Amino acid sequence: MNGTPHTMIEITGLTKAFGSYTAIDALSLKIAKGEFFALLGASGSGKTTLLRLVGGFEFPEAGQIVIDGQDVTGLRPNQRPTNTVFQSYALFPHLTLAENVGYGLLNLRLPRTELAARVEDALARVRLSGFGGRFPHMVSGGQRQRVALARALICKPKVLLLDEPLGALDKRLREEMHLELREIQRAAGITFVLVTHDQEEAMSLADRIAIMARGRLLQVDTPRGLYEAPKSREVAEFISNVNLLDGTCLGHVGREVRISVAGIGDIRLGSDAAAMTAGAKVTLAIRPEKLRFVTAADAGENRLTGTLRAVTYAGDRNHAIVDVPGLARPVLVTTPNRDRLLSEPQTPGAAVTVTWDSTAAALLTD
Amino acid sequence: MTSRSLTTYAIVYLAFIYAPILLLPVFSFNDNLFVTFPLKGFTTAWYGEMAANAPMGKALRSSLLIVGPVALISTGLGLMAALALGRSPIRFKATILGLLMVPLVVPTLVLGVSLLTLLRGVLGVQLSLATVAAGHILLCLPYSVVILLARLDGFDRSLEEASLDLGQSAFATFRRITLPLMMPAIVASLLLCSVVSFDEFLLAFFLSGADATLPLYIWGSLRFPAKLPSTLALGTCLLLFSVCVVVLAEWIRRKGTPGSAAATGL
Repeated sequence: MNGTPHTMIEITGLTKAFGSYTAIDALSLKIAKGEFFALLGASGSGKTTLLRLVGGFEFPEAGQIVIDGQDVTGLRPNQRPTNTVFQSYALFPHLTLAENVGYGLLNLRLPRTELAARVEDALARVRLSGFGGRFPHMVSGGQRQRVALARALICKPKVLLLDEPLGALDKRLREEMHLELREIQRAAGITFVLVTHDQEEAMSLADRIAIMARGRLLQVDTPRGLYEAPKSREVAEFISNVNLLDGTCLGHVGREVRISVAGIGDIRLGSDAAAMTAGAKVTLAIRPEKLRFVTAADAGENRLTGTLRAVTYAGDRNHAIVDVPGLARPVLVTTPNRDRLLSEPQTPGAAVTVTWDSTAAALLTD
Repeated sequence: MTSRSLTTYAIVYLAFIYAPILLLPVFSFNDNLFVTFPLKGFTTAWYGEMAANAPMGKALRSSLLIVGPVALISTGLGLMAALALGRSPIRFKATILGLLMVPLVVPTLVLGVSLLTLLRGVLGVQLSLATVAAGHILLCLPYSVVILLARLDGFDRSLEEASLDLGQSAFATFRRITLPLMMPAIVASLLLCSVVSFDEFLLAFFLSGADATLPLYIWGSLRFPAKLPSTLALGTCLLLFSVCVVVLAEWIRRKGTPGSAAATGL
């Protein structure tokens, strides 16, 4: 990299329809060189279609895809500087692991010894030295996954596309692979585009995440940005649990702003305050772990009172559901288990007071 | 109780199907010109007579002569049809597949008469083994398409996409990936088409010229009681051969299946 962030993938006005169904709707996106980028969305959101368009397995009705300055919109997969790790791995069952890994080098017509050396090197990099002679059905799912990765990386692509690559692995193996993927990506300096429906996977792997729905991008941001400053109700609700409060802006008080929320009363917002004018209708998003239970006397200005409906014990934390008169939906409160005494409120039906800091809530702008 | 009656039913059913077939080898070794019980002595004389029968040998050679081309051409055409139906974006696939399957449901009698009318009446072609072979290709094509299409649908399409992604052209992908994965089905199709052509009677009856195929010869020889035992000997040889072919075809087909399951990660 030469100081300025260099764009690797630039997508402009991309549209793809299957019959009357619009899978990708006039989508534009820039992905930087060396970036680990995740496309996150529910099934049917268009994330896989977008990946297939970038890989050259589908062709758009309108729009343009530029990779590293080259317009690849009409190019076939074998003409693009991309390689793909398929969801099913797509290892060739009639070839050995070594032949699978070396498949991308066939066109180079390398001398036999050099081909073997490169393949062995690629296998070693995914910790599969000595496995070259085996066939795909003779190794485990995690090993197949790593072969697929080695096979795609041996061609030294500018962009590696990963279509839910860890979907078929169990939780523990998936977490191991997360670390490995990040290391490989950093070492190779290749731009990764990952499709996933698992938000934890996207957040722990990606530099930036695009949230997709109905063939469009709802928000493109860092994991922290998406979690702490969601722009819309849909994004806030897609990423983890959230409490949404509808209110009216009353005016500024110093650097904070006063907001009247039906069913709770007046509260203060410390962040995003400058953007608001008195009388505006606003929606605030507060994550459950930013709320805490206090005694009525200890509560600050931001407070609500309600009735505890239920508490779910989850080991390291408790998930509480609090019914608040005047609010349509119950408030979710997640509290850490700081000691073993279960000192947080436990009894369903108990009257509880909940408080939070003025900087805990995010203002939804869309 | 139910289980026992089902077992009895199964045994009776199998006996009904296979007992007549088993009579063939039994009588082929029976030292009696007439095919009746009780059995007399053991003899291999009928096999000797069979080997010495020149017209029978000629009919067998005629049949074997067309089996190869019929199997190869049907399977070749079937492969092209299967690839078009399974891999290309053509329209009206269901209609095309239906039309390809028609020879399976149209009575062979009707096919035979209409082909005869076409070849003799309309085109004025001389009947020969070539016209028999043409009829057999028509008959074999649906079998070939069904076998090959099932295999093509059975393996993960992203295998071909992966090959393209790794730099190979569409043709190289076909040669390196699609064709090897199709090979068990191709072999099965070749074997099945061979069997269909080898014992087909009706079309051969309508479309053959001077050269009789083996089924035609056997049918003709049934009218002469003296020839019956050597025909039984031939039947026994053919039975043994077809069992071998069917077992071989099924073995090859099954051998191909686990590989595809592993490929899709299932």
